[in-house]
Amino acid sequence: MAVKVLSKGEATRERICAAAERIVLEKGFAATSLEEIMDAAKVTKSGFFYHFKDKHDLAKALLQRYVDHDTRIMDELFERADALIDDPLHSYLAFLKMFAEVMDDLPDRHPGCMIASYCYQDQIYHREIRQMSAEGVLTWRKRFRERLDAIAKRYPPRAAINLDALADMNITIVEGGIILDKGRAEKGALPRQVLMLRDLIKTLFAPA
Amino acid sequence: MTDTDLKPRRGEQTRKELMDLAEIAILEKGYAATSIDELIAQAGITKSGFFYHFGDKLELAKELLRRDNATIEAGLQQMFEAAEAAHPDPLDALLETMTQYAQAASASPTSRPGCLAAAFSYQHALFDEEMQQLVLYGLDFKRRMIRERLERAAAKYPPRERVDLDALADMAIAIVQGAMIMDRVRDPPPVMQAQMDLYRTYLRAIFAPRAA
Repeated sequence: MAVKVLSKGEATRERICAAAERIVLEKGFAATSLEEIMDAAKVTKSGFFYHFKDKHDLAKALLQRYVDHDTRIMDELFERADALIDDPLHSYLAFLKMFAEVMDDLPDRHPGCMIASYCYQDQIYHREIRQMSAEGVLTWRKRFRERLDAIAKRYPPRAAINLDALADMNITIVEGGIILDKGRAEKGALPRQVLMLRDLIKTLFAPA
Repeated sequence: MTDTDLKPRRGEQTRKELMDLAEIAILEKGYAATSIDELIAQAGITKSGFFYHFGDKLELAKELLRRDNATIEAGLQQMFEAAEAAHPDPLDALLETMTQYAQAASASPTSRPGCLAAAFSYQHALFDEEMQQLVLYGLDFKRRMIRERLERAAAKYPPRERVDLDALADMAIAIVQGAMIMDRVRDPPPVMQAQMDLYRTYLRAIFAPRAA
């Protein structure tokens, strides 16, 4: 895997974003002050404002970073699955297994999804945030849908299935699994739900 | 009716109104962004009126979740009983109830559907252990109620492979929670019912594969 070396400025920006994301996912954006983010990221006020115009600018950056990061993980895992397996169904099943493993390997329960965090707070009133969130989930759906189309072509599903809904379910299960993880204050629920989804897909497509 | 008869009733009414207003505000914009000042302004009462009913904002939030848990638990129980009265087959009754559960979760006094427990979970550092227990209670009774029906379905239609019934019950909760988030983020049409339909298709495939 190629390791990208960050410049000093990029490293500072990344440090701010990582600290902000951690705090925001614990208590929400409204309750998070710029001062505590600066403290946690060990940057000065001028250092912070060199990178972000204001709090709203940071809000957008956090969302974009989260969506990009998740998309990259997804693409990498799909690539690995494709490299191992030619068949579209079995590659998809391998992807879900690897994805569950990645979730299971997290040191703690899943910290949360920025899109979900914002949608439960007043960030949802910002048009740009809403748009970025909606685009994020639609981008993901498109990726899943393309692969499900290839699967459905080779393996006619056992019942009439709405493939857009099935593509959405990859996102729904992760979002819901995170809520279970958070509510139970322990890890395990999210990877288990991803494996349930894997079984659902296997059951619907694999020939009996 | 005398004046003394009316007083407690008016008090209850105010308390309920405060809770309804707070629920909407929290579901729309979160706990931190909801202020006591805006609630009393909307309810047309004084600050001391607020503190007569609730010790502080945190106590109000917990009362909201307690009320929500009680409403959902009773509602789900009612849905199961009605479906079981209408459908002698345990699988049919479960499938019917799941449709209604999704429908109920989509109905909301706010512009988009939402769940208080989920909203609080995304601000958990602002709360205490008692709140965490209330959230957990909500997850537990749903799992228990759905699992009980899954067991009945499994008794009549033994699944081909071993199924983790707790995880399968949790899956219904995860789908409803995830679909609510999707429907908050994305423009209509809502995804909720189509997501639940997939779960129902999955249940049929597990328990009554020939009928699927």
